[in-house]
Amino acid sequence: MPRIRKKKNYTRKYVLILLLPGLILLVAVVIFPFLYTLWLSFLRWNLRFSWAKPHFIGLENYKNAILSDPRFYNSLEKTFYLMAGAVPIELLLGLGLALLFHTGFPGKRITMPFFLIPLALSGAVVGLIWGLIFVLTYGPLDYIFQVTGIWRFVFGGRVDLLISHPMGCIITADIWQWTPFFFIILLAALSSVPKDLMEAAMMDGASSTQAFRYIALPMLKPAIAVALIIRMIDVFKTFGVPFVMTKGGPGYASEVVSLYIYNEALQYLDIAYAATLSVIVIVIIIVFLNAFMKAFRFKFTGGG
Amino acid sequence: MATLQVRNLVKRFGETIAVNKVSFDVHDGEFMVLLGPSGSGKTTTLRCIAGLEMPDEGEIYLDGELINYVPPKDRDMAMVFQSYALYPHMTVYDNIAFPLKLRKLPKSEIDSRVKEVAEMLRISHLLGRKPHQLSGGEQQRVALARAIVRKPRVFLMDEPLSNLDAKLRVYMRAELKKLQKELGVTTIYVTHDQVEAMTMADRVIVLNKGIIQQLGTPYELYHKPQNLFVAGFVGSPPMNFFEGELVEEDGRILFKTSEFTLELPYEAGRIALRKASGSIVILGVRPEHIYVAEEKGPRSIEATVFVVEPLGSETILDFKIGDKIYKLRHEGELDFKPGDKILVTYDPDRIYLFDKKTGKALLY
Ligand SMILES: Nc1ncnc2c1ncn2[C@@H]1O[C@H](COP(=O)(O)OP(=O)(O)OP(=O)(O)O)[C@@H](O)[C@H]1O
Ligand SMILES: [Mg+2]
Repeated sequence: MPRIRKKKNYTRKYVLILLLPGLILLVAVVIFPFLYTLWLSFLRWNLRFSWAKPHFIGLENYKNAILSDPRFYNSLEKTFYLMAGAVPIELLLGLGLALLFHTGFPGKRITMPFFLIPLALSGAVVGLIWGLIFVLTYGPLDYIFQVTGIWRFVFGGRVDLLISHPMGCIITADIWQWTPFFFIILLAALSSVPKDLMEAAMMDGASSTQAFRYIALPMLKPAIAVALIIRMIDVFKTFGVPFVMTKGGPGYASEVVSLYIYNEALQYLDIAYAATLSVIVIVIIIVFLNAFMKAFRFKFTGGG
Repeated sequence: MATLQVRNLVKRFGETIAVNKVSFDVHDGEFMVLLGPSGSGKTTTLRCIAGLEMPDEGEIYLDGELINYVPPKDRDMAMVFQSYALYPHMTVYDNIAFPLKLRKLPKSEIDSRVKEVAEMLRISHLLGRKPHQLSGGEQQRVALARAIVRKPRVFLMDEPLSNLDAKLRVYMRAELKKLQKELGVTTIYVTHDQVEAMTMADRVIVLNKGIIQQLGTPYELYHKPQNLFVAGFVGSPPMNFFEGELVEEDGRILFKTSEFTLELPYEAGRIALRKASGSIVILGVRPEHIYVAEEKGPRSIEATVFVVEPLGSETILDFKIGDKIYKLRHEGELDFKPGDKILVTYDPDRIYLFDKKTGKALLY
């Protein structure tokens, strides 16, 4: 018996040692910043007024944010526009591409990397690229819309889309950036659907559409749910694209929530209030995801 | 009800020719077995018939109609996959009902038919379960149920019993055969197990390296193997082969090896001599046609006992002539020890002769 106990202690020590770097990292980059943010949100502390020492004001920041900050609600609204406008399309396009690449076509290997490039770019670069595409007078879009008559028939004349449809521009760039994310996840998931199941479905009389609908799709459900969850959290963090393309403008017309938090913190230097907004956003994300997982009947534990 | 014709079927995968000019007919209601060792092209042949694989050459006719370009879903064939391929996210009930739902049958009819087959295969109590909650044998019956629920024109089965334990396999063999006769559906059944083929088939196709070696009833395969491959593949333990020279001396036909010389029945020997392409031939004798001789006779050969394998009702005796090992099968027990000197003899009417070069049978 003593030998066994000794061995147990021995392994426990190793477990701790091996966990330590991860734990330190977690504490340093997740837990400490979060607790610090939480603490900040209970203070009055604006760096513009350097003479005013931070002091505790309880829930006042929360009261202000929730009861009397239309700009915050505006930024949440824009964030949900982005989510509703971009994520479903990214899912559908990603799924379509995954199916295309899964069934295969000549030149599949050569084209594959091109579809993955957007994933490797930072939001700022994507914003820059699409800003240049959308910009009037020298943008390629201007030319295409002119030649095809889209300006005349759809918009009734030449307009600066970055000003007239800023959210549309951001959504377009976001779709371009994130469709590949759904694409690779779903491609991997598709290749894990056993081939003989699809063949069995065809022998049972299913067309390829039906085989996909009744056999592959249900098996893709967990992958789709995971990808959606990651993306929906991600939307709240969208920053680079709107920051570079529109700066949240014109006015606040494209000021998504992370951009607003950034402005509060680094334009108006109201650190405490920005911290408050961050905490509220975290709560919103948690509530939102819970509702989503219930709707999707998704359990991380697997099984039925 | 259906007849199936396969004409000069060829299927290549890059360099390998998986199926090489295969032609055969399957009659209406027949139980046809595709038998062959691993990699002989059985699955590929079956998949071509199913439409899951596009043949490189050749034609497949179903009831006289060319079906090469008919997609699998329109061929009205049901396939039982070696892996069962049950839909993991569906219950057993939904698995069986799936082909009927695709055909948009009324709910009440689907229900009664699913329950009917479930009854027939004795899986009624499993209908609410998911496939991963079933044993291998149960999964196999669900796969069968899914195939028979819609009364297809042809059954295609790819080694459906290979994952079962020995006892269940023997039981399912009989069940499957009975079921097929009851339903009267034309069936192609793939297996590499020659016992399965012999016990279940109306006729058997023996395949090797993508080429048909012989097509015939189990009786024909056993009694009249057309070449060395079939002779060696059908029967357990396999046939013993002796290589030797066939010569005619003073009106007698002799088979001479370096260890022994035998006199062959004259008629048979004459036929073989005439057909053989050279003087070197292979003599084949099944283990069940070799006996331990009591005393020296004209057909007795000296041998040494190598291993005794008692199997209860019968005994397999491995013996050595020279440095080669052969087997005999004896009904009952044999009391020998390794190293014992014995005399063996054989039934002269149950011998086979094959051409060394072509492998072709010389007697039948
Ligand atoms: N998709 C494929 N790609 C390349 N080669 C293949 C493919 N399918 C089969 N082959 C080759 O074709 C030959 C016949 O294969 P097949 O699966 O028909 O054999 P089989 O008789 O069913 O064997 P087993 O008893 O092991 O199932 C083999 O040499 C195999 O390697
Ligand atoms: Mg096979």
